[in-house]
Amino acid sequence: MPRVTPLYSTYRFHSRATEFAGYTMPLMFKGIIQEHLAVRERAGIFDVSHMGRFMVEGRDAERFLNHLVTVDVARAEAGRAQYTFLCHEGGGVMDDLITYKLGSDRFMVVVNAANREKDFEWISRWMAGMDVTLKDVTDDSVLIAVQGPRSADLVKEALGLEVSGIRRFRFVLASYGGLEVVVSRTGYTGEDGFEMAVMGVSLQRPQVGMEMWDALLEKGRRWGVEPCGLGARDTLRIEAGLPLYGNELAQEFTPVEAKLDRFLDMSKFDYIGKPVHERQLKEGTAKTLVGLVCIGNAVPRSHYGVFLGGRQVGFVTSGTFSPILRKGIAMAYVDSNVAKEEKELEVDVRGIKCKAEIHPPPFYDPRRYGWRRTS
Amino acid sequence: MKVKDYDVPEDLLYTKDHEWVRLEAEEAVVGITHYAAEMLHDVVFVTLPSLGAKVEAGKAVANVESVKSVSDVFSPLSGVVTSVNQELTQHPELINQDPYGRGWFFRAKLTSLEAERGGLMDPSSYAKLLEELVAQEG
Repeated sequence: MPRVTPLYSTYRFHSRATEFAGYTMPLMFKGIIQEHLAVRERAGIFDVSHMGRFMVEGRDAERFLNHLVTVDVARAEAGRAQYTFLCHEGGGVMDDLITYKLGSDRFMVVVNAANREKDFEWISRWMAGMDVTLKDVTDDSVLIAVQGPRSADLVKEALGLEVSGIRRFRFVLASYGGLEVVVSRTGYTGEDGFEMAVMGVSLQRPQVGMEMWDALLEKGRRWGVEPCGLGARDTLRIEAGLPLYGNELAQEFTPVEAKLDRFLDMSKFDYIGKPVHERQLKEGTAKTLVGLVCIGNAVPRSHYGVFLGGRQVGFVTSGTFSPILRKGIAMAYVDSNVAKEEKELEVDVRGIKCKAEIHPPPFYDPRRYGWRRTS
Repeated sequence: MKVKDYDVPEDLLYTKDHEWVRLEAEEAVVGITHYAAEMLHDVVFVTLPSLGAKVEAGKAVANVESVKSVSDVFSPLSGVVTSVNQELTQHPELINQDPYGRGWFFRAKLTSLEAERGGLMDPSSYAKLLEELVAQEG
């Protein structure tokens, strides 16, 4: 039996469902494109309670995590959220995650839903001799994301939480309906926005989570804010050039190959996978992740081949139709030499070679869309 | 008639793959049903057969690309394509807005109507198929 989140009953009859990571989740509400544009232009609300949430606590919490993740959680001040990776000894990615530093002896860690059990086991494996505990709190909390340029106004108006002062990748502890909420200025859409983990909400006691969801929708309705499903979540993250575990990230790919080395702290004494990353940064890698924009009317999908002059030079990891560009876009691993020298490649779209330009992420104009927008 | 929110016009014939056919003398107009359009949702690109192409019953002749997926459209009958709806290349959303009207795909002069007609579904059989699918959705 697939699981559902504590918010499921609020949207069950207003959405089309899909199975994801063992959960029945909303794929779409009114439609992927409509939801996508609402987030880019106004705001959208997502139930992402399926994502795994762990607490890492104890005197050695900082030292312990620092051995496992690729950024320096010790140097970060409390209130920092850090995007980082769990890697294995070969440098490949076990998962990408966000660490929330509540204090040097207390962290919340948010991991991919599909990796929840695997990560828990992997993290547990390194605990021997450490004063540290690991607790999975996924089932005792909900995670609601509000994304889009109007997010701060919406959270303030709907929930009474003053969040405009929170800086990007910072969080605060707030209170809503008598429960503790971790409010971070983070997200997976490229837009400004917030993710709110409401602690103490479960399938048995979903009320406060449902109240928050309803309040956001109710207030947002007259602004054109939409509830959004996993369909829009995927098109938004691809358009922003953000990686997904299982597509761009996997045990056989390293963060260096995925061009995410800004999240590897080489000044740190040590972490699992560091020697491989160090070598790759010095010597380069055989393949590298690039963005592609199709020139004709074609949509690349994952596993489609990427070609140059009849020779296969790579493969698509994620592809979709971009509602902003109105074109097919993709991320693909290609030979590093090809990535360096070429401007245009071809994608084999079901037997037809379609021209595609190499384009650095994000795919949209960052002056007009995304959290750095200037207009 | 209607099954849940899905229109099933009574003057058309259908396939199990959710194409519709309007028979007009020796020709047939072909499109995809309201249900199919709803399932695809946002159609973003369409590939159509070329004028004069020979199409065969049950073989892929076109495809529709939505945000999430790409699907083949199968020709319900065999024949030769006599016109295609070029408007769809510029406005694929017509498939969602008007699946039985301006969202038509192509028109073909039929070559084996007598032999193949039995393979199509009448409106009430197609409605029955939709009822089963809707029941599975819950």
